[in-house]
This record gives sequence, structure tokens and C-alpha cells, in this order.
Amino acid sequence: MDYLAHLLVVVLIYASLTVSLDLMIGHTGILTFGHASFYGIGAYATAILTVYAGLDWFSAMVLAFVVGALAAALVGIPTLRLGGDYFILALFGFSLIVISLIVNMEWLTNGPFGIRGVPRPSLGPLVVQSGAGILAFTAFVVALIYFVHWRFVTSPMKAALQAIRDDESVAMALGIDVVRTKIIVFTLGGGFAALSGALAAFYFRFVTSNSYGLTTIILLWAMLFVGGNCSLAGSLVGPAVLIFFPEVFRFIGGPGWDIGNIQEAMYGLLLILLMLFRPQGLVGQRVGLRS
Amino acid sequence: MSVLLDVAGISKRFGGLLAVDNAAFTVEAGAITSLIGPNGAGKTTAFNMVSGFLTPDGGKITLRGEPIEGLQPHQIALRGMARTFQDPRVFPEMSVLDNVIVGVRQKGERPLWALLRGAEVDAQWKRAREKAEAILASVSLFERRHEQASALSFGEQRFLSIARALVSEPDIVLLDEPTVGLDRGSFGKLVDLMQHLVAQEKKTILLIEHNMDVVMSISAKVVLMVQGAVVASGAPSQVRAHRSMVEAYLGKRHVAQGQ
Amino acid sequence: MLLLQLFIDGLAAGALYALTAVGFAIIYNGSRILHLAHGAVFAFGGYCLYVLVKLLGVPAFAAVPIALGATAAFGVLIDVLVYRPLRARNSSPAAILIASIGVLTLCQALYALFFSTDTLYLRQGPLPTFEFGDITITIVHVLAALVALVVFPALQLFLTRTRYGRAIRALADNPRLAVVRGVDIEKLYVLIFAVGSLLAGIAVTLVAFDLGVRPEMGFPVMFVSLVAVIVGGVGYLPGAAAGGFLLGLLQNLSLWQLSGRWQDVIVFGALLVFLIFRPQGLFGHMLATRRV
Repeated sequence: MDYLAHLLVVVLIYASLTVSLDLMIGHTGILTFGHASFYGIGAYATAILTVYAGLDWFSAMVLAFVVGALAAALVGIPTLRLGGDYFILALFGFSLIVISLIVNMEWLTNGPFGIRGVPRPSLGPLVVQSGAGILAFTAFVVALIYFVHWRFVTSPMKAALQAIRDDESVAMALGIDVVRTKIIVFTLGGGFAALSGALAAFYFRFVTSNSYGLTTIILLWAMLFVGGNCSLAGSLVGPAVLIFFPEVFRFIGGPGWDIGNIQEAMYGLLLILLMLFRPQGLVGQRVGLRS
Repeated sequence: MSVLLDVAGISKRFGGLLAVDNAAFTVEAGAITSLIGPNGAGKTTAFNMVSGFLTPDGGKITLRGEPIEGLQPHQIALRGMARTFQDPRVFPEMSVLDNVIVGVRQKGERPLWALLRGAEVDAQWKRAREKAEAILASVSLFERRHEQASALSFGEQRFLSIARALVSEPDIVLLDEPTVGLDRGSFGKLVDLMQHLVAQEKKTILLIEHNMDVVMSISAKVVLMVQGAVVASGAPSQVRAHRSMVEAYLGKRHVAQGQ
Repeated sequence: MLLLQLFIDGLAAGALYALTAVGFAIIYNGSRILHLAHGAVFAFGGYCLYVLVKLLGVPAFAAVPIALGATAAFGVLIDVLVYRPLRARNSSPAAILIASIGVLTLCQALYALFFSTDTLYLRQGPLPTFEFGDITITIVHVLAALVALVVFPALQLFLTRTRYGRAIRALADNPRLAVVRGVDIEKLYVLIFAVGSLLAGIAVTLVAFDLGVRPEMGFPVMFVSLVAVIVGGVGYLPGAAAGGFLLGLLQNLSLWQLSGRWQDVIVFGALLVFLIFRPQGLFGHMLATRRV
């Protein structure tokens, strides 16, 4: 039962990452490699603020959101005003060096050793200790994140973002400030990714640079496209499928099988096959990936 | 008639090619002005400069007396100029109705308002939908409003893109070769629509058009561009006379290519 | 004379980046595909060399041409198996990019599965070196210089004097024109990927013997190469080469004052500077993005 709770927490955290990623990629057409980096920035910010600066969990979480948003704004403002390809290349580079930065700024991040001892959330004297408790907490925050995104995509915002995704020039001709809107969406995305990072920090109580590099961004993209981009349901289905399905393989496969690399290979192959045969994923619309 | 749009001596060079050469013309309010000329004459480049997609190398463009050259396209759009493109370029995955609603700028597009909503946001959205439905009705697309825009025929998409441009109630509409690819029936409807816009709704239209019958019959003014320069500008009858000269100078094939 | 040593090291690194950058740029200019899997092609070449030299005992002078050919073929294979079907399905550039990342990830994982994640060395012992006072020049430096002096002019000749080279340039200038001229576009794509991947193969030859091969070896090189393409001006091949050399120099000269762990950050910093202040690169080229 505990292991199931663990998987559920993991699925929820990834779902929150996927839904915020979807707002950028699926709705607005911002092909960002940066999401795992802001996730990491949020996780580290939470850890640093609670463990080193002694802040309470709630303030740390809020500040993590702000830090993630700020970082995204700093990266997004110079890069989003240029053409899509420049942005893609810049964010690809960014995703590679954030790890480098985390590892090298030892005075702040404890380098490759990571930071331990992140506290669990608490309400006065009540500390979330049990598996069920942290699951409930995570589910609550993730539900809030989903609520916010649900409000976004059931408002005029959805069509405006899709206009940018489908035809930027026409969007401009309709009076939409494309660059500014993209920057705002990207900033929000960074903030929400950082918030997911806070959740991860609270759950695992330990942050290390391993989880925020290219492997994770590939996993997020795979989750997004398996579930179906431009879809709230898809952002839940994708992580569920990609977390629960490999669990089946845990029981197959002999000793010495490098599960990590097999999974990596799977995700890569999955992305290729999805683009070829089912770009809309499991439950998404046929969105934009075929002209 | 007052001048709504004043294009004064704009030029644009692409590498070695001078696409627009010191072009100047005015567009009077409440009338249709047609921009004609052979292919490659610089008409679309001029359009792009007027609507902000290109910055002129030199010259000024004023809308209602205010300079707009160098402004971003969305800024010019918000000042009451709408435009269409050579292809309909509807948003394929949105419904017909959403395609038009997205032409209306509203508060609910911004994240904070989308989250909090409120009476004003809802009211704006409702008004936008009503305006969209009205315009769709006027171009006979109301019944198909919930279908995906990609399901429409070319001609219907053309009307959809025009509806999308009109929903924000612009003062001036730039139409880039709107009659291309339309069948006879749609063609007639489009001409009627343009005349209706000017006569009943007091809109101003700047039109790039190759069909000389349309140009001559509905334009109040014709501007002839050849190889980037404005060669003649005036009432259709005046320019027609001039066109014969151009035709003779450059050869009939240049004019034929324009058809 | 530490500075001079760093300068020479920088040039050698620069040659590596220049080769990979130009290879990437040829593919991008001609197809507008952000072929991020180029890094996997680079690594493929390295592993080919490893298999040939270490496992099969093939002497280097024979192994290198074989590996080059295999690398070029591998790049073409990616286009034929992945990108071409996507083009046939009218997939958007986004879908192609996502597939490219899929290829990159898949390849890297397969390398790790087949060869382990360790760094594998092709040879024992230090490389032959030449000493000039304080300056140490290894065979890698010499090779890098030779390669740069031979490959880039040869490439220039190919692109300006041969029929296919000119067709590639025409395609880069205007994707539609090449079809009108009767040149078979899919054949051109094969050529573009072959040439681009060949350059990556040449590049990996410079490092594989010295530093060995490992699954992620493509990443740091790709990163700098991408920055080089932007620094040089997207769409301008000599710019990509110049960018590669400049960044190689920047990385190594920075060692004069800073620890080696900041190299990547410095390169990224250079990228940001260019994106903010001079996105058209040193020589003023921006590939026309599909505007209006």
C-alpha cells in the first residue's frame, strides 16, 4: 500500500509538471526545454530556504514559485522575442548548463551531494508524517495547480494562446501582443514548475542535481505527448501511463538489466513513434503537429 | 472626404532588390481604395509596411494623423486597422465561432482575469460571442459556427478570415487579394459585402486586387504600382487611361499576369 | 607561456566545435530541421572507432575512413527513417524537433546499454607529443590544424564549384527553388545529412583517440556548436566555423583565470549576450524566420 502511495505522489508531481508544460507547448506553441530546470530551481530554492535559511515550508513554497517565475522571465525575455528556433536552441543550452550551475555553486547547493533534511509541511503542531498525509497534501496542491490551469483554458485565454500557436502573424494582426503573451505564459510556466519542485522537495526531503537535466525533460515531453497535448486530461493520463506501465517491467527482466537506460530508450522511441503515428497522444486533440 | 491613411514616400529594400520605391498615396475615409499593379510591383510589401509587419527604410505612414511607421503589427491593429492575408489562414483546429471571437481583444485573455473572472470579464466574453455570431450570420456561416475551421471550403475560409478581421470593428480594413480562388457565387457575395461595409457601416477599405472589373466598379480611388513605385493614383477612369500607357510600355503580358 | 598553451588548446577545441557546428548548420540551413540528434551521430562515430580499433583491432588509418563512412550513413539513416516519413505526413517543425530529441535520447540510451556508461578508451598511454619549451603540442593539436586547413577549404570548394554543392546552397536560400530547378529534393536531403554527419565524424575522430568515448559525449560538443551557429550568424556557414573557433578559444582562455567548471556557463553567457545584443551574429545573418 505504501508503494502505491509513493507511485501516486510521483504521478501527481509529474502531472502538475505536465499540465504547466502543456500550457506552454500544447496551447501556446512554446517548445521549451527548460521545464525540468525550473523544476530543479524550485526544488533547490525550497531546500535552501528551509534547511539553510530556516524559513517555514509555506513561505519557502511561495518563494520557490517566485524564484522559478523570475528565472523564467530572465531567460524568456531575451529569447522569446527572437524566432522559434533561436528560443529552442537557447533553452536546449540552458537545460544543459543549469545542472552545471547547480553542481558548481557548492556554497549554495552543496554541489553533487545535494541538500538533505527538507522539512515536511505542517499546520501548527501537526506535521505531515504519514504516507497518506503527504499524498493528501500533494494531491491538494496539485489540485490547485490544475484548478488554475482549468480556469486558464476555459477562458478567452485559450483561444488567444492557440492563435499564437497556430499562426503568430495572424495573431499579431488581430492585436495580440505575441511576444509579451509568450513571456507571461513562460514566466507562469517557470513558476508552476518551481512549485512542483517544492512538492518534490517536501516529499523526498532531499534534493540532488540528478533529477533536473535532459533525462527529466525528455520524460516530461514523453508524458505530455503520450497523454495528448493541449488537453487537461492528457496531462494526467500521460504521467499515469508512463509511471505505472514501467512498474510492470520491474518484475520482468533479469539482474544486470539497466532499467534506467531501458526506460530512456523507451521514451526516445516513444517520442519518435508518437510523432509518426499518433501526435495527438492518447486523449488529446489532433493539435498542430500535422500541418 | 478626409484622409484616413497617409502613406508618404515609403521604401523597402531587400538585399539588392528595391521592392518599394518612394511610394506615396492616400486612402480616404469611408471609401474603397484599390492597389493594383503587376506581380512583384510591391503591393504586398506596401501592405506589410502599412500594417506593421515590415519597417519602411524611409518615409512616413500616418493613420488619422498619427505616425504608425515602425510600430508593431499588434499596436497598429489596436488602433483600428485590420488586415487579411493572401491565404485565408484560419486557425484550423478552432471552431468557426472561436476563430471570430479570438478577433476581439478582451480582458479574459490575461491570466489574472482568466483566473478570477468577474462580471466584466464574463460580459466582455458574452459580447464578443454575440458580435461574432452576428458577423458570421452576415457572411452566411452562422449555421457552421461549431464546426472546425479546417472543415470549411476555401471560399468559406476566406469569408471566415474576413469576418475575423471585421469583428473588432476596425476603421480601416486591408484586404489582400480577397477574390482569388472564389467561385462565381462567393465572388459576388464578397463584392456585395465590401460595398455594404463602406456604404452602410462607413468602413474604409484598402484593397489589393487583380480583377479589373471589381476594381473599376467598386473603387472610389485606384493606386497603380509598377516595380515598387506609384505610377498613377486617382479615380478609376483616370488610372485606366494611364494603365493603357503602362500596358503599352511594359507589354500586355505584364498586365495579363496580373489577372 | 600558459596563455599561449591555452590559445593553442583553444584552437584545437575550436576546430572540433567548428566542424560540428558547420555540420549542424549545413543540415539546418538546407532542411530547416533542428537536428539535435546530430550529437548522437557524433557519438556514433566515436563508438564506430572504438569497435573498429579496440574490439576488432583494425589499424587507425583504416578504421577512420570506415568510421567516417558509417557516420555519414548513420546520419542519412536518421533522415530516411524518421524525418522523411514525417515530411511525408506533413508534420510540423515541432513534431520533427520532438522526434529528433527522441532519436537523441534513444541513441544515447542504446550506447549506454550496449557499451555501458563508462568512458571507453581506444588506446593505452599518453599521446605522442612535441615539446617546444613550455608549450606542449599533442598529435591532436596537429590533426586538428591539418583537418581545419584541409576540410574547410574542401567544403568551400564543394559548395561553390560542384553541382550538388550549389544545389545545397540554393536549397538553403529558398526551399522551393530547388524543386523548380528539377533537382530531386529528397536526394539533396540525403546529401545534406551525409555531408553534415561526415563533418561530425571527422570531429569525433579528433577527440576519440585522446579522450575515449562515452554515451553523452555528444552533449557538451552540441551545446557549444549550437552557440557557435548563433554567434556566427544563423544561416552563414563560415560564421558557424568562426563561432566554433571563437568559443573554443573562449573556453580555454577562460582557464587562465577561472576554474574549468565554469566553461559551460561562460559559453552560455556568450549565447545570452549575443541573443540580447546581436542575434544576427558576428557577421549579420539571421535565417529568415517564416514571418508574415
